[in-house]
Amino acid sequence: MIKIIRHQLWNQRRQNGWIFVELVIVSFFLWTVIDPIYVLTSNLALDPGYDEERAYALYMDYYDELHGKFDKAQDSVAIRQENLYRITRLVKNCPEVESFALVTNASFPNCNSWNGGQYFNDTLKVHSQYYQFVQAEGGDVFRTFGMKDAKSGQIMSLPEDCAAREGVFVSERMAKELFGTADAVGKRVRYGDSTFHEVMGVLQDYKHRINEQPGNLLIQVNGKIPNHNWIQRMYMVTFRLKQNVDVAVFEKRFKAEVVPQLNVGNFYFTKLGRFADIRRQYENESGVTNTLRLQYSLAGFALLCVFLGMVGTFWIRCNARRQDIGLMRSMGATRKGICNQFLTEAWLLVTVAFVVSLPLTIHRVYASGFANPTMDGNPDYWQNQPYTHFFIVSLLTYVVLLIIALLGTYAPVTRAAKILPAEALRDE
Amino acid sequence: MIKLYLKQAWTLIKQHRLFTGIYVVGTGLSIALVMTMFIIFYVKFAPIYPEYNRNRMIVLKKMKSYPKDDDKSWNCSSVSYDVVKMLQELPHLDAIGAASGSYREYYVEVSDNNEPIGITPLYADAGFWQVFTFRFLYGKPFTQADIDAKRREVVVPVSLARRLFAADDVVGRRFKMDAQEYRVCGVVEDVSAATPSTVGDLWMPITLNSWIKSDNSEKLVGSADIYMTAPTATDKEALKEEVREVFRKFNLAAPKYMNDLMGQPDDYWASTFRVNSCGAPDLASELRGYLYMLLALLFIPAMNLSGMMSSRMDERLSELGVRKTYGATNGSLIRQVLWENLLLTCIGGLLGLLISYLIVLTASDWILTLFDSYTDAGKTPFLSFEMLFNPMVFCTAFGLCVLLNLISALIPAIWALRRNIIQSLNSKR
Repeated sequence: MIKIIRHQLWNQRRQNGWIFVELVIVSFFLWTVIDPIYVLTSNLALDPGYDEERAYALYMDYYDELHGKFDKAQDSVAIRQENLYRITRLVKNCPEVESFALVTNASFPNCNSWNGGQYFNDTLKVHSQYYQFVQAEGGDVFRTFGMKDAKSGQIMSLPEDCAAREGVFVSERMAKELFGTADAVGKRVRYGDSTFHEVMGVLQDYKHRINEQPGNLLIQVNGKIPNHNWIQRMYMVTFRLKQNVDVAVFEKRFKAEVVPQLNVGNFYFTKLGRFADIRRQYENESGVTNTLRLQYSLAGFALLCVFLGMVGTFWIRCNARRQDIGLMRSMGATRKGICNQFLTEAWLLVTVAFVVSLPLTIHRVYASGFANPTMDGNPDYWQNQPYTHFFIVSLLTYVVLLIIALLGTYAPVTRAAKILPAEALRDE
Repeated sequence: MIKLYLKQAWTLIKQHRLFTGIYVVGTGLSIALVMTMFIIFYVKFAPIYPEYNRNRMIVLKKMKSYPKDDDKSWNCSSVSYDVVKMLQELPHLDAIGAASGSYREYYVEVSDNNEPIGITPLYADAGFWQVFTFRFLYGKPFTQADIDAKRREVVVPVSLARRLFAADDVVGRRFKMDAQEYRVCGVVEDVSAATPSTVGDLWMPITLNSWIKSDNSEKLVGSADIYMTAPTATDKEALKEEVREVFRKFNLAAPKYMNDLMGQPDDYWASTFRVNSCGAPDLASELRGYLYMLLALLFIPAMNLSGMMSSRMDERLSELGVRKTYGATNGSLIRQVLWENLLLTCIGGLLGLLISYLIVLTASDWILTLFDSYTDAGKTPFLSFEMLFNPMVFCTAFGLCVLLNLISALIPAIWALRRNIIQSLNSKR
């Protein structure tokens, strides 16, 4: 049957030429469109290592000297520190709050800031992002963010004397890079001030930004807010609500009852940010959402074109081959057999076109690389393995293209196969 | 004759509904997406309120300073406000203005709500109001004297006036923002976030921005964007050269630092691609990307249409043979095919234009920033009548129809007419 179909396609090459060229172009184009979708979607699908449900960041601002309410008497570093603790206690005392954490504004998921540094195990150097958490007033960053122990899979427990011992926590990836093993509890890491810090726990891999792959992370646990001049812009409170709390009711009550008390010294409340909203905002601002929208639109456009092209081509071809179909039917061919023959023609057309487009695609990948590459990405992820990456995107492109092409072929072919032999042969 | 062709085309449309349907949808799809893309870039580049002078505008947005003895220690940022004074006397300068975004929100406290209204102002100087063409509904902009005296005079868009005072004419009214009293000196028509150079929740004197400072360190990095207009669009190049000359002389005279314009001043359209503070944008690569997309949007459907036209030509071979027998030339037959086809393409084009309006209007909160790598999620652009309904949009849509018509119909028609009369007449036997 394949031989007959091959002859059929070759004999009608002029009619098939246009759709064939279109399929080649679309195969190439669709590959370049699906590639970023695959990378972004794969990255988005990776477990972020935190839980954004019922988690909040409390945004505060600080009156500067130009502000009419600026109070010079409340501007000393000591008072600022005390006021930050007071704000933390106000959050802690909310009955709906399950846990809270006083962290820097670069130390919660999808925030705009990013802090990084160099960390050493003897002479081995690793670059990593770091979070800073102040273990004060009973706060717990792991319960607040939902960060888990790599070994047990349970929420990481925070030893009470962690800050006193100047302990740190590292992500599994960082532990492997720095110590060659995820079993790094008790090992020592050196940074910044050249002092050694004990690793008190290894966390499951963690994504600071939702569209990125998990990177190295180290969490510094400090005992108090440092004596910096800019702590008012550096520290903020994050918290998580208890399981059964109605979020809308809480937010309403918080704004009505707690917010007036939050204006402490020169601090004033500006916004209560849900982690989910902060993530969405980051996706919007960083172009992730736009990239996906654009690529999905282009993919939809290309597939719709292929669908229309296949419908048009096969409609015309079926009309032109009414006599063939009549003869085949009169010789005992079933409707299903005729349908299958046309669908096989479509399959062959798509497959050959796709194979022809592959060298072009390979050349493009060779010249420009894959979409959205991650520097120093984890080689365990398929999107970071060149051959697997290429194979998956190619397979996705081929399958999507084939499904759409067969759908486009199916309608005109089933209609043509319904023709009665006598009716089809009447014109002969 | 054209009337006859169009009549015949109309009859064919009625006879071959499926062909017509697929053809019109194919054309419409292509034109809808290309026009959506066109509208996005039209709003980005073309003269629209309040940036009607974009055609004769040049922009300085970024500056890189480094010590003369160490060109690896960069300091990159926006431009120092002092640059305005340096450029004020240029021969081809019509107006020069500066604007500076706010690094933080201001808050207007509202009595019945614990959550204050967040306001992100745009700081501007006196020249800003000459470079850009705001429509003042009431009052006027703040003056140079207000700027020098750091008076808290603000221009507000009419929507904010309504929100704060429930009235339009609020000139002279006062309100408290960050617990400081501000006076409204002018009310302007609302500005869409689709014009990022000029949009602000309100506009206040640039000197109220604590980051705008005079600096004697020779480094011309700062916090301002500088906009200049030349008297005409053709004078832009001369003005650019004059600006570069001023910087060349300044750098020669400065003992310690170099100030690198990184290829600026930019035309307004090119300035929209300048997001990296420390380097010039790779315009060729950006434009290549858009061209690739544009070609795909045009050529993929054109292949469809060509395939369909080719089949149609085969069906009409005998008709073409008869016309040839009676003396019709290939040229006249190609013209006939193109005219007939143009009717179909124009129907598709109209459909496409309507779909593109539908896309742009339903996705107005994000579509205009679809190609931007960074967007400010807090600013939702609105679309105005002039952005969508203007001669440029209609002419482009029609031009696309003609182009698509040529791409899809010309080659099949030429191929069909290569056959001689006997072959053509014999095709239906």
